[in-house]
Amino acid sequence: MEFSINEEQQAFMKSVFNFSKNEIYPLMEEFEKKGEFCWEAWKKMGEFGMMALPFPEEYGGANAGVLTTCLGMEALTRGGASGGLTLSWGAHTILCGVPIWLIGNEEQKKKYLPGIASGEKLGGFGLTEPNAGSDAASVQTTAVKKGDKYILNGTKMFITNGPIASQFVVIAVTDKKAGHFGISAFIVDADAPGFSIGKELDKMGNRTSTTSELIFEDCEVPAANLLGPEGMGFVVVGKTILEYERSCLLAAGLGGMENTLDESIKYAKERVQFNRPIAQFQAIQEKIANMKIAVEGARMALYRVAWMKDNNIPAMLEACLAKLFMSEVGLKVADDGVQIHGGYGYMREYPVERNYRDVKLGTIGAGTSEVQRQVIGKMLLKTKKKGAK
Amino acid sequence: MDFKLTAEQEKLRKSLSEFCAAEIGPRAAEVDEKAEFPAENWKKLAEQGVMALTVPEQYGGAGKDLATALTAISVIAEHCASTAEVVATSMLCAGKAIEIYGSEQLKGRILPELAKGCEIGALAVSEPGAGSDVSAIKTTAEKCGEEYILKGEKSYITNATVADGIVTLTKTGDSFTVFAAPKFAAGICVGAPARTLGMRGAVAANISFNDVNLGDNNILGGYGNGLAVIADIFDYVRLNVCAVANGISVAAYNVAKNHAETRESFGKPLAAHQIVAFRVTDMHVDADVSRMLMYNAAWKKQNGEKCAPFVALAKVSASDTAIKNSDRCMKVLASAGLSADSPAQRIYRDARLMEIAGGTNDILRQIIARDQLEL
Repeated sequence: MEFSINEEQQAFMKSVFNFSKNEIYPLMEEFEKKGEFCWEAWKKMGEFGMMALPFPEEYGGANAGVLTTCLGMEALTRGGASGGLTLSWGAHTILCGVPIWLIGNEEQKKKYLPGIASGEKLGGFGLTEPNAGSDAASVQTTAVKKGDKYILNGTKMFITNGPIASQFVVIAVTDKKAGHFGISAFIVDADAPGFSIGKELDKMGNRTSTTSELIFEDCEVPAANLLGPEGMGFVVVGKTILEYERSCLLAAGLGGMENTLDESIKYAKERVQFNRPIAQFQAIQEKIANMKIAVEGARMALYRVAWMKDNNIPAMLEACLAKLFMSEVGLKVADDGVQIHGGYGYMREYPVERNYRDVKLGTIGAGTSEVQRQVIGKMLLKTKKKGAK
Repeated sequence: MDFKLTAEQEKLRKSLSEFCAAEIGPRAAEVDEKAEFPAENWKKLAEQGVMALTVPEQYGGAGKDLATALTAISVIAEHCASTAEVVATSMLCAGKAIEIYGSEQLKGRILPELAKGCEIGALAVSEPGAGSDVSAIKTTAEKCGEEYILKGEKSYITNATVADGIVTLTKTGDSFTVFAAPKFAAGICVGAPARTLGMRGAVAANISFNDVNLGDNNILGGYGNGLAVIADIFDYVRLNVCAVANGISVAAYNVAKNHAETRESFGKPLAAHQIVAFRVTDMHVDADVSRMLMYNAAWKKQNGEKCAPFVALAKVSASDTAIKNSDRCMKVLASAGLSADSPAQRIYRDARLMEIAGGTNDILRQIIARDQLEL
């Protein structure tokens, strides 16, 4: 075993951290308050190369590998980028960009990836529906082939970047009788006829990312925009993005935990009560210690998935484990952060307050904690009766 | 970055697992019940070369790294935590102190015997009035001409009843000094075995030093350097606790998993009930994360990086998980777990020591926090 991060990666993390602290963080408070996407921050991130990280160079990417992508996102959030901004990055880069990169044909990759890698063509991903969340295979949006087009009908729910994206990867049923193998993936341009955006949703946290319904009313999608083989969308997209989602997207969660810890340490050293900095009280120290233990555990779980993906080792169990562990301990870290800050931690101007609201999505998005346990448990345990097949 | 064991470590893990399943596990209940040093297990593991793992090759050892030793200790602990604890105490606590800080003469005499398993080591730091607060110890070593005279009492010393050599911390005026004392030295008196909740095979007893005469050659790491020496050795002690605790966590998981898969209720295995399945899943998750934290800390220690806070947090995580998992295991087994015939209750009792040994988790959290807060 070997747990080092090489010098190049360390330097990269440092530069991203400084970029985030100096260029991104100062923009966050205003947009957090307004609950709006911050295009200025997004543009800066694009210029810095954050959206290019995982993609091959020939499509404008940086070919950075999964671990380095994770390290970059970790540093971005630790530096103060809000959860909403990094969530937008995830929906764009990982949920929209990665499936096009890994499943798309040459034409699709050439058409879409450069705009995604530069950040100019914002992307999103449409799987969840009003009645299909964790039970993702129960999607009801349909796609019927008509000549050289597919006609899509249905509604997608809780779609990050919904109101502002240029294109979406959308999951729809092409053959209802075929179950899992009757679900396909499409690239849908936001200007496709019959496509519209539902009402923008007001969220507890991650407020600098925008969220909405997507509405498909006889929406026309060129057949050339079918992503992967017909009927294989759910299986292929699921397999492709799940491990990415539960590594690269989680990295921002780790950075968020580190940000909370950094802020709490700073505050505990500055805040004087009973004639001494509260850092000198054992009860505060214990919280700091527990936060650090959680951060390091989460780091191990995350880096392992990234390492496995970079080495082409299947990582489904480890990815679910990382997602489950990190999001659950993340709640406690965020809570301790606010508690250490006391009344100030309850105020909107303090980053720990934002982190507290942002972190809750972790146990819900990309499969609830319960779904992660279900998936891991199925891999670990035999649940059939003895003698049953 | 590399998260997997080397091929050699993996091979050792596998062969030792098979060995322990056949030879060590079946005796775990008996070891617990007798509350005696597991001599038979010790002998068999010595034959397997376990005691030689970390000893340098020039002293008859295998010269393996820390990760290899911790892997072996974890595997043994999966089958019998008491046995793992006595092995680790000798090999990693006493053995490392001799290897790193002993004179050439001392190393040449002791290490080959430790490697063969012919001698057993112990580490004696705690006293009736000083546990986590190490610098409060009262045992003294007074210089008299060429010799040092040790006076004092050490408490809860694992392997005390069987040890051939004792590594101990003493106060030498305003400073501290570590000695390696041979058991046969006149004036060493070992008390009755402590009656304990768990880890009964890792017998602990008090040791009193009644005017024990030792020479310069018995000093480890130089006169007056005791606190630095013991701080370094504590990293090994805590990593050893990590390994035993992680073994206990896996043992609890294995017992719970096996029960959940075979016991049926409402017409299906317990494992098909969501709450049980999730509980067993959480056992795996926590054990797995703690295991990675242990290897990460060991890697830092091996490479001479600053590691005390990482060792501390790995130890807290491992021992908290051992206790949590042993509790979850009891819940999965319900009544069956309460039976003296079930390994669940032994695992439950054994786990408790883990948050105490090597510095309580309370004190380790302070170490972590003080590092974070730069206090």
